[in-house]
Amino acid sequence: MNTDKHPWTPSEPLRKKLNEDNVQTEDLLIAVLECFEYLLGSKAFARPIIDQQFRKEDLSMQHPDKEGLVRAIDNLIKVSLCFKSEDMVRQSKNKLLRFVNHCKTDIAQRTVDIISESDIVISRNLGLEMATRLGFSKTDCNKIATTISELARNIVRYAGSGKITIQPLIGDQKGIEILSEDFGSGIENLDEIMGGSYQSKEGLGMGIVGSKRLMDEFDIETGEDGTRIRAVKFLR
Amino acid sequence: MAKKKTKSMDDRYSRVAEIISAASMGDYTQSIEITEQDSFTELEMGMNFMIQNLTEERDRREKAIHELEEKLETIRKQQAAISELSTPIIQIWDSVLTLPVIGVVDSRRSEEMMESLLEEVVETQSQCVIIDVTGVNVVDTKTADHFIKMVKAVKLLGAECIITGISPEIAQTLTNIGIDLTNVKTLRNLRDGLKESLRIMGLGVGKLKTVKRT
Amino acid sequence: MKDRSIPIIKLHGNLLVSIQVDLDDQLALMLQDDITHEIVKTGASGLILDVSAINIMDSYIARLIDNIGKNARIMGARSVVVGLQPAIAITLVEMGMEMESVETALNLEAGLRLLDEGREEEEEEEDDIEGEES
Repeated sequence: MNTDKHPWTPSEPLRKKLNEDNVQTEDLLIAVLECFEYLLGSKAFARPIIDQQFRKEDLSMQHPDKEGLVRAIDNLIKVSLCFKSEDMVRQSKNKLLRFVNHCKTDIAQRTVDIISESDIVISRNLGLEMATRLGFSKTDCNKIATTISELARNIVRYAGSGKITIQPLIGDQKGIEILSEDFGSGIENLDEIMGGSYQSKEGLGMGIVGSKRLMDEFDIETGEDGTRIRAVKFLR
Repeated sequence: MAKKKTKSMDDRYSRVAEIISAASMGDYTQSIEITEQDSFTELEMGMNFMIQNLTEERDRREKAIHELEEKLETIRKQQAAISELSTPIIQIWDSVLTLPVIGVVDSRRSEEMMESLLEEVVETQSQCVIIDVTGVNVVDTKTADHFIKMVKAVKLLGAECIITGISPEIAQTLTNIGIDLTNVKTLRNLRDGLKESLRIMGLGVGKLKTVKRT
Repeated sequence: MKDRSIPIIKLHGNLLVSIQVDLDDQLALMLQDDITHEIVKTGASGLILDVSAINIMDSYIARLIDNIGKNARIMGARSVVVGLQPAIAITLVEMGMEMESVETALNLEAGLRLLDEGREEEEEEEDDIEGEES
């Protein structure tokens, strides 16, 4: 039972859904409802206020819009500060925003299925366009697009098929996230490759090591059933 | 004459709650229609006045914010100007660009520098670039790394790159941290850099046959 | 007449190739073949690769270009890459990707000059050697 001293945490059934990699918009909206019902003290009081904010930003299951959701959250935070301490409100907000960032159902985020070489060009041009719109410098746009090209090419050559997801990051640290997923058989000498002891400048190794140098964050999970790579570049 | 509809107390309480809720969201367009004259009316009128004051207050605040934003924009522009001034790219001869670097070079600045420099090289089709680091006092691994990358990138475009102005202290530091400058052309100062650039382009400096004095 | 997707132009003892489309394995192999054949046919000693239309170059493409240079070298020709975009230069350097078998120049003129200067030097060397022999 949440007492007045603790920041908001999602209820049990919601928590499971929010911990998944792909948070659904409906669950996100429910999380927002739960959070502010808690912060504002009572459901009856909170509900009309939250509804009004959602209406103002035209938020609904049919129109999920991350930027609008963040604006709504910001306004609701302002009201919450009248009722709960700044610390508690801030911590609750951060928790909520973390879930928002995990939500993939967003108009701005795009996924490209990678099956053939032409998909490499499609995905990297898309990345270039999104990075430009997000305000990255020409150099950074090129680094992002090149990383996408490398990851997409690796999918085509070694895994056969997979997908690349390009996701803008909002919240305190703005940027862009590139997610590469495939169901290939995994990267064999990952440790060697990352450690730099992999000799060949060809193929898989170069693409991964090169991309790691271009981005700010770079994580790889690989195994028999596939590979998942996450690369992030922050806006300066 | 139609009589105004009488409101129940419940309705009036709800209306006040609605106004408060709207106001908390920044919606100051609502007001209470006064239909009764009783002790509660004071509260209703008070609410209306309060909302009006809030509107005026908000307008004043927005104006102040706007002025502040303009000031911030000026500061940002000045900062950009300072940044540019401290690292101008100067064309000191046909096809020769100079980048005199002064002060501390952080990651962000060096990336901006690199981007501007390379674009300028392509724009002016300059064959030689002289990066003068006389004004750089502190060099650590990262800074040295940035400069080496700059040199490599300039060369990759097809232009020559010369670094001038490395002080003995910096030279020592570079050796100590293991930076290898064997592939980088280094000269003592800008003058030597220009001379070398002219030589690379097949030009030399010579005396004119006659100098007309006026 | 063979239908080429990437045209190769002859320019005083040099070949000029302008890469305007995205290179994939198939195209790249065809291009390498075509270049090799043209070098033999025309006796060209210089190859200029114009990459000004390429706006994203990953390690694969960089390697393709390097391989074209390697092949040309085996056939006795020097390769010069011209028109590299600044953002790409930065990316390649950051990645640590080097193209060792090709030289670079700012533009077509500079590239031709580079190749011509190289030829002059070679001729001088040959003259020197012949002078010694006689």
